[in-house]
Amino acid sequence: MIGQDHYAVLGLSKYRYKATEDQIKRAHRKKVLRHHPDKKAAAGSTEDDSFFKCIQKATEILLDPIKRRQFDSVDEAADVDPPSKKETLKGNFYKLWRPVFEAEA
Amino acid sequence: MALDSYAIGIDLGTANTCVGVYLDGRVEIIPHEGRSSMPSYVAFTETGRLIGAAAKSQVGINPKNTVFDALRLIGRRYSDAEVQADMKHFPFQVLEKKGKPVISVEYRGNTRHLTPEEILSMILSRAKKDAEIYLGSTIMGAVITVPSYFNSSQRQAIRDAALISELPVLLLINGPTAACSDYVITRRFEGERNVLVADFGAGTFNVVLASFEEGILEVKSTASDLHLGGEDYDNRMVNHFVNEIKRKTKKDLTVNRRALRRLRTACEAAKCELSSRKQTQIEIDSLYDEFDFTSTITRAWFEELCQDLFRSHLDPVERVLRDAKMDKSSVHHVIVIGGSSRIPKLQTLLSYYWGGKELSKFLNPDETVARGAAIHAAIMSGYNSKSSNLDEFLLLDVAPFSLGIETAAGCMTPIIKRNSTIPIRKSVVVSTYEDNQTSFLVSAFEGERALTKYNIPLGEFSIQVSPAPRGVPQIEITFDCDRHDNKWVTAAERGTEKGKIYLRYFDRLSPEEIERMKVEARIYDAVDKAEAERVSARNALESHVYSVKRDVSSSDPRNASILRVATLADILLRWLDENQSAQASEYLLRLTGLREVAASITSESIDTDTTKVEAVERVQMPVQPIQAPPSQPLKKPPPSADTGADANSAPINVTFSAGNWQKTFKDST
Repeated sequence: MIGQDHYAVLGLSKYRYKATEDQIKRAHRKKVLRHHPDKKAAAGSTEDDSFFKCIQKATEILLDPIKRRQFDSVDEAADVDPPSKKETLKGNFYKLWRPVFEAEA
Repeated sequence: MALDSYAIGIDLGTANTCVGVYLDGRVEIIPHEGRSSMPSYVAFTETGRLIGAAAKSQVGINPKNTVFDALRLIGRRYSDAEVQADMKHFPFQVLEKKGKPVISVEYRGNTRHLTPEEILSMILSRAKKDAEIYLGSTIMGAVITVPSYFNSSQRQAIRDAALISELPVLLLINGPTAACSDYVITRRFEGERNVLVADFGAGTFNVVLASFEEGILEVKSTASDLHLGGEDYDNRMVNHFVNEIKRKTKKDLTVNRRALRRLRTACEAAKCELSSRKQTQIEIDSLYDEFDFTSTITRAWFEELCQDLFRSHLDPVERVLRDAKMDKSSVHHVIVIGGSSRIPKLQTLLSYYWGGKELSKFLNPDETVARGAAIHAAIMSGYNSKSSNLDEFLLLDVAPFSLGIETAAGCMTPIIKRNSTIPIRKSVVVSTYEDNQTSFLVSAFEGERALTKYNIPLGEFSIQVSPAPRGVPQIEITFDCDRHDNKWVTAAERGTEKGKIYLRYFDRLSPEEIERMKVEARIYDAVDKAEAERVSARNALESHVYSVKRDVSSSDPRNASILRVATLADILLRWLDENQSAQASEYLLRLTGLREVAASITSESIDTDTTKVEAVERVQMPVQPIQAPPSQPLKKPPPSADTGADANSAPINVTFSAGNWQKTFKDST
């Protein structure tokens, strides 16, 4: 449980801290429909609700502004590594550095 | 779409039980003896056991052995205030056994002590049987609804009851939640909808607030008042009339239980009538010492009597809104269900609270809970996983009570809060209370009170901690609660092995007890079946005797063999009259005897009298093969047994091989 990536659980890795509340709600609903134990029981598989619990936890944290900030502030997956020296030499400055500045702003 | 096995939804109510099944995209209510719901009554008599409508209809002649309201006793302790209060109203006897209430009844001449679980299991197995007959196939399991205020112990007791009746429980859900599911599925809403369900039960008032969007029904909060319901209004009306009688005749009715009971029944009927009429009359003949009681009550007067009760319905409503952090204006639909939802004053009260909003009423408030349960049964069993609208529907239910641990000075520290969506897992990190503590006791409780002593204990265990100053060790406690309200607690000091327990209420029936009750339930069933066979054997004999009599009466009375048959029929009728409760085998014996005699006459006089031949042939026509119960194989008595038969005992000693019968007959004439 410790170190769970809440965005990944909800399938929002692409957006991370930029995900809107609406997106989170939507993602939650979609995931819940698939992973709720009631649905799994119907499909005949064993009733394993651990992933559902993860979904619930992720949603709870991401929909709470304070808890979300706490999580985002230490969210390593959101870090954008600066381009390597080799890349800077030949690449487009704006193209390479924009994500970095955006992330750090 | 036909299945070999169905999942049913059962609305297990205090007063009535209703069963539904999801068939081809809609819910059908399974009838019980022609009605949509079955009274939750079980009766024990000299001859057997009655369940449902049959039990309720004989409550007047057999009050001591007719059990109802078992739902009020289940999962409670004998010493509970509720049990003690309810016991005063019960005509049957409630005793204490290992701290739990048991019901004492007379069954076939023996005194039996039955737990409330056993009573409910009888109701459940009857519901299952009705469904099996209706659907013509087996039942794979059921979703059972419970009152939303039920705690773990009561829910577990319901599961045990289902276990005894060998009905697998797919899910337990709260009644109002089931009604809410029914509502949103039938109406198919677009966009977000907040729905509030108010369930006016016989003894309790429950409110559920849920929000529905894109197929997901999420329960936001629940609240209930455990002592507010139809019966409380009845009590008010009863008290009113008791005072009136006292004023008019100087008689105290409260000392006469039977009179009080009759007055209560009349008041209940009057209350129902006042929902549709402005005033009604109460008439009870010879209520007390040849005193005929007649009185009139108006709707306004009734509303005045119960005004404070009506008002207090708003408290739980406000509480759910507060718990869900919702404004009353954001509630889109207000649904009322349950018997008392028909009271006009309650409807206007709720409507007024929402500023004149129109309430959403069901066509049938009594069935909707069973409908909702049936929908969930279909989802759980995967009946609809391929096809239609249920595929996109999901209920997110909540934990009805907070779960927590005891911390310093007996404080309750909730870990899983009330109204959190289940399944859920929650962890907290706690520490020690004293320096160099070596063990740490984790005791889990359920309830909302601030001190654990007022809450319900669920279990406890201790774990090892390495000695350290107070506050240093870090102990992680994790609570797990799954869809079925099963709960686990794990606890460990960080980095050590974990202790884990499965939480359950201490007072649960043990597996051995359940096993024993299962066996007993099968015995009850077998006895019922034997009784049914006995009755059908008696009816077969009786109808055969009558048809023989009818046939011989149209034949020549001077014919000796006809006379013989006629006399035998009379003898048998007399015997039947005196032996209403003989064994099935005895009836069958006489039935075959009568047939043999009739047949012998046919062969005797076949050439001479054609009308008679016809008659005898007709006698033989209604012959149905009746199986004797396997335990009592059909035996013919030894021939010697009836040689000494005299005229008086002839009816009983009539034997049924044709030759012997003639002898006996001659003896008696």
